[in-house]
Amino acid sequence: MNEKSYNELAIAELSSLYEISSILFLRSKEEILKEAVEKAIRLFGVRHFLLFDKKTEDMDVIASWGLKDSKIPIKINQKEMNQFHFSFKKLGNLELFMEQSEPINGREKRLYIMYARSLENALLNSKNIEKRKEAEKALKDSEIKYRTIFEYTGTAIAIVSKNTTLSLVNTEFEKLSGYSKEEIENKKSWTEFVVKDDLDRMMEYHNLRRIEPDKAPSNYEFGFIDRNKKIINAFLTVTIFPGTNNSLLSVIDITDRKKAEDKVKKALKEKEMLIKEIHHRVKNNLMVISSLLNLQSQYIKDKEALGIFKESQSRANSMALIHEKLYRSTDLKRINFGEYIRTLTTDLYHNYFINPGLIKLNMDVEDIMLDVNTSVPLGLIVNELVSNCMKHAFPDGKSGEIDVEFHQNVDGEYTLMVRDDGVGFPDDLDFRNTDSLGLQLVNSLTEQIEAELSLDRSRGTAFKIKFKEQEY
Amino acid sequence: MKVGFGYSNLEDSKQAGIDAIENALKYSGKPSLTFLFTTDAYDQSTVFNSVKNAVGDSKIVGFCGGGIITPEGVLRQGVGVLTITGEKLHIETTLQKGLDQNPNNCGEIAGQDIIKAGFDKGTVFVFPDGFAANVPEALRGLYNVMGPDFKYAGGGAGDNLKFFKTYQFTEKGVESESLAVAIIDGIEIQIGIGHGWKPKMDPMVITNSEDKRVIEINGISAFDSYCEQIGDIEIEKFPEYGMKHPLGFPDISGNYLIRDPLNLNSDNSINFVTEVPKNAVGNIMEGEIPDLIDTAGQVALKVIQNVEKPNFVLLFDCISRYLLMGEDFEKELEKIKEVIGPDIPLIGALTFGEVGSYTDVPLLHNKTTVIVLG
Repeated sequence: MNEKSYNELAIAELSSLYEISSILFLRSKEEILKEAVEKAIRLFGVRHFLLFDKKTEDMDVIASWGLKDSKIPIKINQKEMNQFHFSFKKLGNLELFMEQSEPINGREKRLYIMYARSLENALLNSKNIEKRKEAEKALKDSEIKYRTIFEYTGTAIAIVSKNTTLSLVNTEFEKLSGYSKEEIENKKSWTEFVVKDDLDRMMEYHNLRRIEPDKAPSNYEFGFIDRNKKIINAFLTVTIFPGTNNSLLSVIDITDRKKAEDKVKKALKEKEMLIKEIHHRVKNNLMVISSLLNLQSQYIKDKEALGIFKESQSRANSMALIHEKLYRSTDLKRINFGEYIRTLTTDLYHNYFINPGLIKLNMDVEDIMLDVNTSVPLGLIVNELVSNCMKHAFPDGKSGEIDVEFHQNVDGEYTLMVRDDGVGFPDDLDFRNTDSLGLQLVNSLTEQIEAELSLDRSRGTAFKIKFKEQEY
Repeated sequence: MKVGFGYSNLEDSKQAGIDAIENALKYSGKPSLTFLFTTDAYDQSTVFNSVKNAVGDSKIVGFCGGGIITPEGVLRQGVGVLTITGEKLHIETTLQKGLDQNPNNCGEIAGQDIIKAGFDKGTVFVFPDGFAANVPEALRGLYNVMGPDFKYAGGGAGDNLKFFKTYQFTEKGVESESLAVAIIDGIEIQIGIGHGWKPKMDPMVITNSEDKRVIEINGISAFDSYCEQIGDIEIEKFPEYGMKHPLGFPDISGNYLIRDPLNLNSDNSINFVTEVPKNAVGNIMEGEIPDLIDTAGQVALKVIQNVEKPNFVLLFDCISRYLLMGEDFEKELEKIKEVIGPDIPLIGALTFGEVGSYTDVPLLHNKTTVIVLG
């Protein structure tokens, strides 16, 4: 009612100053704004209060008081004596506006400025706290995420320090090792879980990983010893945490897998033995047939019949040779056909020529692996063509050369060539339509392997077979 | 403009209502607006209906208070009415429920109702449930919507210190836990406010509070802080001490907003009539009765200076102030009448929180006198 004394105003001012500064105690933006508006009303009695972000044309209202739905019907004019304006420079585009009915005097203005600064700093603190909270939350979320992965990945995982101590292990590691986390973490070294034979190697990797991480292997098998001294076949994956000396390792018990692998290996071995045995028996049977033909041929007086027996014997031999090559091969399904040609042709050569000095055998064959399904018919073809050369190309002690070539072409196809510089293939003989069993076989077997057969009569006789190995 | 007023202390609810309104209508004729104040001993609906039947389609606003202020003194049981008639008067009322649940929203909706009725100036009478959780919030909500182009006055409804249930009225009916608001335009009204309390000791900080409950002052329990300031207090007698020593919170101009302590909790926290903001700085206050009376006179003087020919006085005075002053309250009343004029129709109520303003904005005060002169 009466004019206030200096002391009364001083006490009021001090009280107000404390209240103004108390905004700084608050942490959340909502609390700060609520209390700031309440104090502006109660301490200053302002009729309009507006805190807004002026970066947008529409004014983003942060807090308001007495503005009829915040539609800002007031005219903000810096020159009005009853208006207070303050830019929150620390907060970008925030502006504070307060209005009272009476002109603002110097004392009021001083207090309003202190109020505005206090509000600005409180909002800044709150923003920083909010940012820190967000960062902490993100960190916590991330930690939860990785901890969940660490714990529930289904693999034994551990974090290893430079001094080999296991600083953190998961439940799977507990199960694998037989020790509890409390017994392991920061108490045990990984070396206690490794068999002696693997220890030096792994220690070397451990050290190398901390000097040149790329040079240390990140996956390998080792023997893991559990609490009961049981040795487990384990597969280790390890990586170093970037920028640290700590590594993350995961251990998988591969004992069962190892057992299964051994079983498969054993089964495979047995199968190999069985196939070899089959090839061996087939070869032996063919050799028996060959021997029988040989024995029987001794009773044959007719030269033509004897020739037929010899040819059959030769065919049986050529097939036996395939099976011999197969059971001696590591593959069991493929043979080195170059080697086969060399052996077969040499055998034929020695069978047919009593005086080998007259005929020269030239072989230019590559070592090419062919499937048994191709090798058997192709072996018979080689047998027929080479036999034909030796039987017909050099009659009456005529000398000459036989060339056998076998190559893989650039296009992936194979070429087999059997050529002689002998008397030549009879002009009146159609090699595709002949009574000769040998040539019939050649034609038939060529079709079987889908090969292309051609005859060159320009200089002696040259049979060329081009084929692509079929997939079986 | 014609004004009538009447009051009755008859025990029968219906008769008391009729008795009071019939007196008022003799002077005002059929009113445009009827202020109705009651006390809690009545059946509120019966009083309300008896008045409403008499005033027809007059707008009504009012509440049940702690007593009726009449020119002859305070009626602890009674009905008081003030009727205003005038062709140029523009009046609207609103009655909002849910004051306890969402006070700010309640205040805002009340404000929107008034604005929607086409008002851009006038005097707003605000009568909230004085026991509601955060009445200042409701007042802030109301002002936030209506703004500074209006004058605000009023008081909180209550009962005879049972703190049980309150009633608010408009012509639409009787409600509890509500906010009754009326606006009147077309008449010159002046509002004055004052209390006469002075700071006794050093300023103190409300270090912890929750709405109306002050938990800590200066970092220790509210009760211990009171004891430090005014000496040992017998726990059982705290309400008596509190009545004489409210808290006062100064604004920057040195006007104190009074907060009235009500009772003590077992944890030595103190319940107040109205909410006390955390981190507010205030003093324990003291008041000599002559000072309180003198202040009421000064308030009356201030308002009378701005009204050329006063037609009525509405008085909202804190019940705690009345209880403290006892028989001396008559002197305060006499002082007001002496300043304003003994023949001006006067009616009022003892309130639980008073609405008025020292500056541009209305606040909810305690232990304060609000004089409305129209």
